[in-house]
Amino acid sequence: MKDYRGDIISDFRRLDNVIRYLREYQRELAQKNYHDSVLSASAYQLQHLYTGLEKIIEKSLASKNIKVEKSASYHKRLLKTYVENFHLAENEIVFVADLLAFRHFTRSAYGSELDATLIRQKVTLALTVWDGIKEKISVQMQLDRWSAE
Amino acid sequence: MKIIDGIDYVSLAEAKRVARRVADCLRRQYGATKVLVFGSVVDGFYVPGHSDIDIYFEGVPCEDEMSVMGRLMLDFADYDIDFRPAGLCHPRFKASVLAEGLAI
Repeated sequence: MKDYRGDIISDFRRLDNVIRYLREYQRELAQKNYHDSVLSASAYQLQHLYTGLEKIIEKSLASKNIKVEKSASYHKRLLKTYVENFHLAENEIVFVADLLAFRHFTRSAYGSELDATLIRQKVTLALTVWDGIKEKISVQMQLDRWSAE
Repeated sequence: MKIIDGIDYVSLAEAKRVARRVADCLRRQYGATKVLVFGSVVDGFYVPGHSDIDIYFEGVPCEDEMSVMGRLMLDFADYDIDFRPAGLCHPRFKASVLAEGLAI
């Protein structure tokens, strides 16, 4: 079985940048006269966060020899398998479900205007739960042990 | 649901059963006041393995619509369901769904 821990660490590092951007945008969105482009930029980074998390989940499950068959419902079943195997807290499940819905929404409702309240809510949720999600995966995958080797 | 060669096969009868379960869940757990199934499941063009299940709902607070949609996507992960909450629908699209959709 392939050891993906090095790849997962590298994915987390890349997502640290995404989180940094989201923190910056959260501050800007709290101002009264933020530019509309901050909304699009936030949505873009949320999409990155979803894609990155999905890659990490794929590798984490593969490392544990948990297989998810590919099909149209693959992304949803992948996240469901992750939720079931990584013992997520309620707010972490809400975050995963939210990202799943957001991805679905941006794919099917492209061209529609972004709702500021919605984006703010999603950025805040992502920033609230991210450290916990990262920690949980790191512990279960024993990433610290891999780094030390 | 069966996966054959990477394709999710769901019969029309199963798609209708799933739509009713989703509607039940939307009403009981999330307070939806109206749930409609629309598209191929009701218009006679449903093709197992290719068609999705289109579901429109309203009555869930606007700020919760996306989270509810996400929870249902996880709970019904085996099925290709296209959720359309009222607050996230374009008015023209919403009008056509309200005209053609079937209440479940």
